[in-house]
Amino acid sequence: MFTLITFSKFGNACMCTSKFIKSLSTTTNKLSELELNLTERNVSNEVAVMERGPLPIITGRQLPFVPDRRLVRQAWVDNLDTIEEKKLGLVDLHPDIFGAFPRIDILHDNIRWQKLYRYINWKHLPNRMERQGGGRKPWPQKGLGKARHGSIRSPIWYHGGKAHGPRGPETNFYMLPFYQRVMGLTTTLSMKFAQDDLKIVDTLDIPTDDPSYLQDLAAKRHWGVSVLYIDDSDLMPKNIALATDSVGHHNLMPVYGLNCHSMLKHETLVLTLAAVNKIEDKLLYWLHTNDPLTPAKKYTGQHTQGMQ
Amino acid sequence: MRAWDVNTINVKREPQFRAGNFKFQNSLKEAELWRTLRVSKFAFQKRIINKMFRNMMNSLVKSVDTLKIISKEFTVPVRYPHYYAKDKKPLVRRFGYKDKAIWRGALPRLNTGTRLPKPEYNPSNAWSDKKALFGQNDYIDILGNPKLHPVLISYNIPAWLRGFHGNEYQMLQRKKAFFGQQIASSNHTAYMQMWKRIRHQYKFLNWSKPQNRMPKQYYRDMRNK
Repeated sequence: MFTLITFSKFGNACMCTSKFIKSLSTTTNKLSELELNLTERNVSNEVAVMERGPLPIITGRQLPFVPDRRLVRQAWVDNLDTIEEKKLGLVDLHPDIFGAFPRIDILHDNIRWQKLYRYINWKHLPNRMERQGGGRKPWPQKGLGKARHGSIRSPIWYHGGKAHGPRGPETNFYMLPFYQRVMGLTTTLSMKFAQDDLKIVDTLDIPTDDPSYLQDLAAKRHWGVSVLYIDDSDLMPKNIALATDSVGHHNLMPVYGLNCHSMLKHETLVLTLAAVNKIEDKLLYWLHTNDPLTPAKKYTGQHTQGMQ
Repeated sequence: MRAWDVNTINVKREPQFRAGNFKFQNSLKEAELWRTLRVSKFAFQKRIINKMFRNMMNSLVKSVDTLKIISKEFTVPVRYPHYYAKDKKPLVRRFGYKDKAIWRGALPRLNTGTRLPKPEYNPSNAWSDKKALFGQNDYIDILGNPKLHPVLISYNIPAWLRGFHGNEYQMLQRKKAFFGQQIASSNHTAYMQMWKRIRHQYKFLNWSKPQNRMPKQYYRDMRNK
């Protein structure tokens, strides 16, 4: 595995000194503060605006595996400190990940897979054998002038069993080919970038934990109603975790939680620089590796080992 | 829209008045009469045409009421009207019958002031936790640990169904492998039903004649109706 050289001065430094709160992927539970060794900093909610040097702070990135003929994409780096946006710098983005051809068919395949592979149809209608009763012939075959029947639970009877109805839980599990999923991620990121729905930010530190701060920010910058924030780790700063907890259309995710469906569901995608580095790292590894065995291994039910 | 979708197709024909091009033949056919009907300078021919036409129209009017309107457009002003036509009145059917049905206007409804009961529309929350974060961690083997298969993280699915896809027979076999002993000891009826269904499916899938079995899509459509 190779490593990218990052050029952000303040990106990682802020994270180390501030207090952390674990933001769970499902925000139904109340957030509990992790009491770490307190530093000399203030415990108040209001955090002073970060002091930055003269702009631009970030001026470039090194990109591996870029042939000369491929055009490198570029994006601004914004801030989340203030509602008004400040351009902190300009970074290069890898063309194979953020400039890939928009394959709508592969995107469709990915979305369909995401929706279906965990979907179970629980419909079950009992057949004539499973319905209560119906063992006896209701009336004699001949002599009554009535239609001939053998059971009161046959399919043509009211309250009878269903002959060809839904039978038991029906799973729709299947796995897309590994590299089709990789391509799904690259095309979706490229589409988001091409449509100006992808914003890069230095950190997710915000001054207040008020939910309206982020909504005002998104409104001012014309980001859209729904925003998805992605950071490289699943430990998020306290203020943004509290702010997005009560708001359903602003969501936090780590890099490993990124997926095509969420990217389409949310209008804007906000990535931190660290997240961009990690995403490029991972995707470029899979696009350029010579290891066919790791993704090709078919899942053979390892999770059922040890079950009765 | 097909021909049989329309109950009545009333074809209206415009009278064609052409000057100077009409050829009167001794053997006039009805089809020619329908096609060319116009003022001719020969009164004798005109009378014959009108007589034949009127007879035809009267016989048609008796069977179809709509042609009453059309027949007026088809009439041609002539100098010698038929004598018996002046006293003719429109034919009345069902004489003395008072039709109380209202054939015009909106369909009948009882005006009680209240509408039929309908549940109030309650839109679902599109940004509930489940919906907002749907699909999270589906690409964890690409963007995270390669050893973590998405199946291992599908906690919302019962363990015996994770990573499994099969038809009813395979599903029942799996269910029996996981829960057979438990069901047998707790609910004998349910176990017997499962056992019988497995036996039935085995026979149906392996021994049934091809002509007795429909294509798979047929049964799928029946289930999804």
